[in-house]
Amino acid sequence: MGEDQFAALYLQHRSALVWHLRSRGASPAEAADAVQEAFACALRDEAQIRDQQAWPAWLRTVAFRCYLRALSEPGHSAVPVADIPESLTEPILDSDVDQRAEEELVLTLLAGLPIQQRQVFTLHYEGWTTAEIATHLGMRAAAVRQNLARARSTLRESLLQDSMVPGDCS
Amino acid sequence: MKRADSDQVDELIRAIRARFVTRCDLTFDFASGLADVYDRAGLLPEPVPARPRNPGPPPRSAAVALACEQLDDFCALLDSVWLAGEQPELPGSHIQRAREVLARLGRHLRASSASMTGTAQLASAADLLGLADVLMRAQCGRTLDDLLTSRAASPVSHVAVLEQLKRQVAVASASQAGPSCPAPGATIRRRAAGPSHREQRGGHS
Repeated sequence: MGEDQFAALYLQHRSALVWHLRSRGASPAEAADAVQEAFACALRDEAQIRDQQAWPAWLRTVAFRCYLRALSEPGHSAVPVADIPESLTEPILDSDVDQRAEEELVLTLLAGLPIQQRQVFTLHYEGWTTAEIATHLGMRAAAVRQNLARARSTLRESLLQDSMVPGDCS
Repeated sequence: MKRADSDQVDELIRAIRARFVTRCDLTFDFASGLADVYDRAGLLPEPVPARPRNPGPPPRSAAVALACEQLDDFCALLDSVWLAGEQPELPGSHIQRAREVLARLGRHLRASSASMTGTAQLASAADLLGLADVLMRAQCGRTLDDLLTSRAASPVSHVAVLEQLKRQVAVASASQAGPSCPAPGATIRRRAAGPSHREQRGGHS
């Protein structure tokens, strides 16, 4: 993979990977650090992956392993990523604050789901079909649908409490 | 749960995830992030060899004025591209940030404070424009140079312009800082041996 292709891979998947790790309970710093490590692994191991379509799943798996590895390190604490500055030129508006609060709430709810529900739900929102999820996770399609329905139900109840989705009128 | 209910939850989660990803894309400094990834993977900037002293730099005012003029011209060209907003696929934030970096360099040069930062700022601008170019190629099949050329009187290569700026800024910096000024340009090259600093402290295997 050339430098341009790797840069494109980074641009395309970095933010989605951060969301993925955040939805699995990582803090912003932990997620950012693990994603950086995953891409560094990708640079080192790129020769092992020939199918370009395999990269998203590979990155997701490796990023999560990096996150777990960092958690298990003695004296673990969130690694500051001060060398990856975010732009501070844009003003933060009240609506931004509300939106970020919504995002944090949803991430917290996702992180709180039982593991199978969360796995199914995460893949569903990344565009995987029921059959693909079933194959990937080694479960039956019916189990995928059941986990998805339960996850939705749990999320809906939590979101109702925070008035993020309208309740029944009856 | 009723179908309509599940649709509402789906729609909400999808919208929030999309918003999160979009905001991250817009605010994250991809050039610095990519440099950090290369660093973690054991790819470090090649050490810059000592540059022979310039026996006779041009007078400070002329060299600085020339560099600033070229920086201003290129900033104006970048302005004309991203301010126009005619290209929905245009990675405007990268172009805008590159333009801000270059404008800052111009201000530093005029204030006689650009020496060490000149190389880094030009490298940062090159990274940002390179990423913008990659995005444009991927999203709309056009190059950044196509777009710049359409706004200029003659063909433009952003790489060539930045190389020229590098030389001009180096000359201007040399005329300001004297023989201690570092040479411009550091390319990324795979480190021959040895783990990265994160591996050394046991961060990753």
